[in-house]
Amino acid sequence: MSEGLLIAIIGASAAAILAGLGSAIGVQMGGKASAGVCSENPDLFGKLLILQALPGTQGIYGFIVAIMVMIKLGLFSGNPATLTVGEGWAYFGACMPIAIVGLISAIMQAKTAVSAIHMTAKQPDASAKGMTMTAMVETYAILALLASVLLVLGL
Amino acid sequence: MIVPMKKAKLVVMKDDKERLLQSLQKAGVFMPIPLPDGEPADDAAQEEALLQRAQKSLSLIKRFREKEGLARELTIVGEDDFVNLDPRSQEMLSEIEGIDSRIAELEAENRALAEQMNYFLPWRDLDIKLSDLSKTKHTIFHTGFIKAGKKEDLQLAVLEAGGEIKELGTGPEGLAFIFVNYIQDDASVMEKAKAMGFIEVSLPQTERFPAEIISEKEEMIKNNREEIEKLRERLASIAKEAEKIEVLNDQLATIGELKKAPVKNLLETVYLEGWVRSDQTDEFKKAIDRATDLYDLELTDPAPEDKPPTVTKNNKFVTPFEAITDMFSRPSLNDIDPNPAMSFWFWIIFGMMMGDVGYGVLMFAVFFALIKLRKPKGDGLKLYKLLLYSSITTVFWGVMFGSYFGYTWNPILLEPMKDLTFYLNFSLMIGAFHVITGVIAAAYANIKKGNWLDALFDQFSWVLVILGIVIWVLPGFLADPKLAFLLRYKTVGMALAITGAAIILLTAGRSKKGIFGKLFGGLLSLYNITGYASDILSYSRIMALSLSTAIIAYVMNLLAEMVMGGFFGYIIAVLIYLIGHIFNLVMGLLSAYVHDSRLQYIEFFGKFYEGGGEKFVPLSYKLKYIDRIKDQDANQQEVY
Repeated sequence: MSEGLLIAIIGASAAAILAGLGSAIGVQMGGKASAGVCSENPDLFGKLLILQALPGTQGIYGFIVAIMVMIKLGLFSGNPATLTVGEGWAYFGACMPIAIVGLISAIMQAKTAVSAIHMTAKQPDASAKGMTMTAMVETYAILALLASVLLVLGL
Repeated sequence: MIVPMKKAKLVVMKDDKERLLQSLQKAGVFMPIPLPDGEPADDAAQEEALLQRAQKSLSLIKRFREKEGLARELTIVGEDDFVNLDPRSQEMLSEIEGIDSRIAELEAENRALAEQMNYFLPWRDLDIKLSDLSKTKHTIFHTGFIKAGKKEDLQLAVLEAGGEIKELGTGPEGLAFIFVNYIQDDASVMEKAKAMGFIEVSLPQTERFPAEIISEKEEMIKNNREEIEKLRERLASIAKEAEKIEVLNDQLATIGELKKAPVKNLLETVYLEGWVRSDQTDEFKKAIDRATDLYDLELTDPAPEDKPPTVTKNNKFVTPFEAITDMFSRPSLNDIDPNPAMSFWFWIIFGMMMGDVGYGVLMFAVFFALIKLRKPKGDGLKLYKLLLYSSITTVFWGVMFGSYFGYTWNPILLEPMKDLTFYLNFSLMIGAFHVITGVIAAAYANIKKGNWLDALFDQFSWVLVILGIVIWVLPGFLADPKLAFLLRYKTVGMALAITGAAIILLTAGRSKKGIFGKLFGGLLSLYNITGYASDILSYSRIMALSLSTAIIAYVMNLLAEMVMGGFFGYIIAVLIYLIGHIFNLVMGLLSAYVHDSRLQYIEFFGKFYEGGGEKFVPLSYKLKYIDRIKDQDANQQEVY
């Protein structure tokens, strides 16, 4: 295995790991808040579940970028590409937007989600507003995903 | 379309009050408004208390009720059965409450009995009646606990002094011991025992063996348990009639609603004020006629200071999408109804975000079955219908993208995973047209108010700019061969954009004073182009979400293909297909729903929509459990 390939794989792993971690933390935060609200008002479960799931998408985005790198490097075909060190670092760099933004935005989005969950507890009809507020944060994860995807495919 | 409202002012005789309110409630077309010095029509405290009991009873018997099948039966109640309370339902409430409190009592008793039993448990093997443990002439008995480690020390101390000692069971504080000392040695032995940590316990003086007491308590606990079991069976048999309580619940809520209706009591008459939809005034009048012929009614258009509620009326396709707008904010009087335009774009964009024929077919099957079998009502029905309709665009875009459960076959427009730049370009273009629709809606609102010039200067100019830039820049921006034909119209686009920009520059500052103020206002307004640009860039999420659905589907297929081969291989492959695609579909639906809504709320509504309207809540039957009330009047009316 070439050194370049190794660096590229570390990049792909970082995308899956960091964004996945962010989402795991985020969904956990949402879940704790939802469980608290559910103990008072079990009927809200459906609405809360949606809010809890929102910070979960960053993990998926990181996973997608990791898979795209794997496809691009031919790891599935059993005939991996040979990369120079420079090319390897290029792939590594391409993975960084979703790795870093995914990690942080998931946690930030979860904070908004927790507030939205508390809002829904007091005003169940406002859950759609909370959903929109939470989705605003995700915009930047989506932009990071696009940056990573376009970079990986452009290489 | 927003239905205009009429304000109704109604005066009836005091004697007719109840009949009138009942008739209005049945018709469900009149929304009473609280009056400054008004009061509720009647005292609803009794109904509210009963309603709470009904809800408590329902939750108590919930777990005893038989599970519904997949298909839900509609609850249909006859008019007479609904209007008249069934005394049996109220008896059921008392019965359920009685059983519940008896169960609670028995359970508390059992807890106490178990505690007492545990107290005697270490002494079970003591074969002396407890009352015989008193002082004799020469000896004295001691009972108590000691930690397991000091056991030998205690035994030694007692035996050395010539006493007897016997080990019994284990209790919470250690090992239970009974020993007997000669009275003259007692003080010294006890001193040693205390030093070892011996805890003396004095057992109650009854003429019975501990084992006897324990088995008696056990028997009592067992009897209580049997009684609880019987009571639960009784609850289960009552639960078969739970529907009666559900009907009672709706009846009480309905009566409570009626009694809480705000009215103003005058000397001989009653005054009501409220809102009626202008297309329901006939029903409203008929409902009053049914109750009384002695009344005074005045129907007027809302005064400028009034805040009438808003109702939107749209065709069958648009209606489910109203739920999306209502969750954001209902239209106010100043708004135009955003639903017709919004529903179309929501529908199109949802399909793009999902973009797979297989998922579309699955959505159609699932939501069609849910609507047919579960027979939801209200907002639930709207949501299911909205997703059912969106399955059609999902299939449409799936065909365009050639995506069938993640497998690619004959893409017509583009292949999301290959033609990325084209797809990004295409998403932004869809976004540009969505934003343009929003600007046109703002123009429409201005024209409706008679502000022709505002529509021309503030909105039409921006349509020119956005459209021009789309034609001018976007095709060249990411250089895609499929959009190359647009490059020929580059100059047209440039001309459009420049014309629009010129209009803005010259007119946007028209309300400002002085020539510099006007020019500066124009420049400042032109700066809004950055806002439009970021709005349109936001539509890149269409591509991102569609891509993420496509890639996860692709990965699931890849994993399934990897394990395929051999009997177990195929089974695992099928499992991966099933679980993987269902997971992807659910996550895709969630993302598409949330992000499509967001695009409507922020990027689209931001251009023209204010919201803040109130919901129209007419005085009507409050049906939570009942689906429909059979109208027996309707048949009679035909006969006469």
